[in-house]
Amino acid sequence: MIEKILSKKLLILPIILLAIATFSFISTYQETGHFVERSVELKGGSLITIATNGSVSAAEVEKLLQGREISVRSVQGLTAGVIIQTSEDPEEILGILEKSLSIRGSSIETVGPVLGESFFQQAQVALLAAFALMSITIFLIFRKVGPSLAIIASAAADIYITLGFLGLLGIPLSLPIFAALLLLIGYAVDTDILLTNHVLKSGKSFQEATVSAMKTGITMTATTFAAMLAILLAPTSSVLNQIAITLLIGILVDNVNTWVTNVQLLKTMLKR
Amino acid sequence: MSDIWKKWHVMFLIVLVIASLVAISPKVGVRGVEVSFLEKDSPAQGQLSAGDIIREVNGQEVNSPEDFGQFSNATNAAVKTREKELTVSSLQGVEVKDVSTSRIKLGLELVGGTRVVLQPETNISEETVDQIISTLQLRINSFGLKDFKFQKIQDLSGNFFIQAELAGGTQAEVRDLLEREGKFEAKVPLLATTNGSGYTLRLDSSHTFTANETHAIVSGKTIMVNSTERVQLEGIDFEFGGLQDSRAVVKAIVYTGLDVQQVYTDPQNSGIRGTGNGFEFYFTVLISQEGAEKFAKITKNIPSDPRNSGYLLSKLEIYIDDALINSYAIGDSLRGQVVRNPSVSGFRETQDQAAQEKLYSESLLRSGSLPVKLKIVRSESISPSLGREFVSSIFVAAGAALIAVFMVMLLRYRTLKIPALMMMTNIAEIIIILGAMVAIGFNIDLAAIGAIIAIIGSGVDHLIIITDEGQRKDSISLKQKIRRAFGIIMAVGATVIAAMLPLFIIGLGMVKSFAIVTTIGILVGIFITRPAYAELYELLIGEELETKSSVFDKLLNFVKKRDKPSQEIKD
Repeated sequence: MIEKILSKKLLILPIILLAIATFSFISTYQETGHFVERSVELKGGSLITIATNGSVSAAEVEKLLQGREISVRSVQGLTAGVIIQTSEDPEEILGILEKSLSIRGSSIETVGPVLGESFFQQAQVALLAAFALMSITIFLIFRKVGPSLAIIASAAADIYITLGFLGLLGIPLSLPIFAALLLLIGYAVDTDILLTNHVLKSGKSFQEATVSAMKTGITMTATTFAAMLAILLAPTSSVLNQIAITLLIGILVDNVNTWVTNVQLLKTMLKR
Repeated sequence: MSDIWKKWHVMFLIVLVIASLVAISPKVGVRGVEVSFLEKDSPAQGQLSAGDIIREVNGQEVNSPEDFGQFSNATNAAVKTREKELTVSSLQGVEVKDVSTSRIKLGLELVGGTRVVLQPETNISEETVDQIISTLQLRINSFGLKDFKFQKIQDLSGNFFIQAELAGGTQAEVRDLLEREGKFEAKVPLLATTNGSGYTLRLDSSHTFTANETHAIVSGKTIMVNSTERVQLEGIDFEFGGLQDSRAVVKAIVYTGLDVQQVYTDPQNSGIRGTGNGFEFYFTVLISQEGAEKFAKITKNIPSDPRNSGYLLSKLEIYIDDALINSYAIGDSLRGQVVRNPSVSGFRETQDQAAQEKLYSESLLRSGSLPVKLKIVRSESISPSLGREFVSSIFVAAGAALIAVFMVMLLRYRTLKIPALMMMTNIAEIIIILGAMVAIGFNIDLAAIGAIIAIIGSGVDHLIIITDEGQRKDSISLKQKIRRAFGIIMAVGATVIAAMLPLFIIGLGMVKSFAIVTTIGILVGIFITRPAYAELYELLIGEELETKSSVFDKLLNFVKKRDKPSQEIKD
């Protein structure tokens, strides 16, 4: 059975995930002309968050704001609330809502389109820079091209697939999510480095090294997963939820990428 | 156990935790509300002051701003503060906030307020940005609003932005205050009389020039009517204001923002008084020597206004951004005088209006000039009640995360010692990070909290690595196993910090603080808390756990048994 764990056939899993993610990007592109949906911080517009006494549905809010340029989402976390994204005057929109709904608290965030666009550019640059820096760090640690590339490929796949899934869930890219993605790079690399370290330096057979690394690795994943799940289930703010769900998806995906993709890549490289 | 004193990481940890707790100074069982600020004309001035902690009003306990809000119209209220009991004539204009329970400074999202990012219309130098900020600060203070924080931000292309935060403020307040101002200039229109072929202007000397409805030609330079084109005579700038009857109007720029050095608003130099059918406000201004001299030269030859006795024919016109905002009549007695402290006055029907106008004029004159206009390119506004919800929800989230992690640990290691030790280490880490943030003076905002929660998840990861490496059935010593574990941990730490580095350069508050907290967390973890854990692990647990098998082990054994002897893949 250990053989099965190390079997090449498992590669189908990451391939399926990559396919799903790619599909998500393509369909978003067809709908909006962009590969990922962006929140107002990254493209301009206003984001209104309202918390109401008693629950209110996104549909209700849409009805109240008929005819306006808006998109409404139920807020995850806050016990009763809705997020409205709009390019119109947010205070006017809030005024309309305040007349019909009993609003307990609200927040408005507005970003000029030029600034939003520039944030997005900066975010992309930052992501690439983070990747580059991470790659350099890994090369310096392991000093072997092959295994280092394996780790980097694995981390890149993590980000790619996570973004794809966020797209499928209809969660737009925002600054908190972006920060979580960068953090994900660190997390993802955690388990990959553990694996590589074991395989290269423990002096055991590839199989034994992988298995012993797996035990530790899965525990690590389990704790982070449990922590993020707890945050999602507890009533918290939208920002924390975005960070949690990004990391949650990312960690699950990372499991596949570490223990299948990375393992296979290492196996192939070391056989040569 | 006496060995524990030799383990310097553990000692260091304990010292840091205590230091952090001191820095944070958490207070328990806090009641009442704190006076956050008193409006300038609040009747409670002198009786209450900012920082007072109010416990009761009229016999009722007050524990939140909402509780206090009931009494905002109360007169002769019996107020009990932490230190004294007194009767306050009126609670109008008294703003309160929740008493802070620690020295942790909470970000805007947790306290409520408004944050805007301003962009200068043209590219400017850092010096200019500093100038703008100090001018804005001054201006805000003249309205008596505290807690306004300005910050310089620079983006990747080197452009400067200014971020302004007003705790407890609304977007409208911030917009109004910040966007309103612009370039300040005071002008006095002079009338140049015709001399047949042209016009003559009398200052110290006489100057002749030609003009028609569209333009004037002065000293060989052409300036268009009602434009900002200027010509300088005797050290004073003039604009052309067209023809009036048989005279030419030339506007003298008498003051710029820099000439207005001070605006006095104390009771001796300013006030509001009732007059007949309305209210008059007045205040005194300090003008620079240069400005005063210009004023003298310009007003020397202005005749009195036949329709308004006691005043000159020409008025002092205040222009902001080249638009006429207000004009003030100039008293006769000021003609030709080098007056360094003229007084400004105005009239309104009601006292409120007069007070408003006074405040407005003061701010107008006090503002100094902004070298460039500012545009609001980003704003966020959070109501305090939403902010408070966030705070409580964060505790819930953190608590839930810690418990979840503890459970998983319990499942894996089947013993209480390890999870307990890990939890303590984790909590110590969080306390030290919070302490560090207080020491640096950092705000805890949502991003910082996100980072802390991420640390709860990952800090444990590394402890797991240490534990597992320590348990491996290897022929090397425990110490060496742990050293190997740290090899991995360092590698990971370095990588995460590398990933966070780009975030430091992006000048956007939230994302930057996420990066900073994460980095601090990792450094604290790698150099302090995790080594401490390793030391404690060595001491208290050592190789004990080899024998107990957990769920994971059982699974693995099950898998192994199903194996037939198979080919091993060699390194």
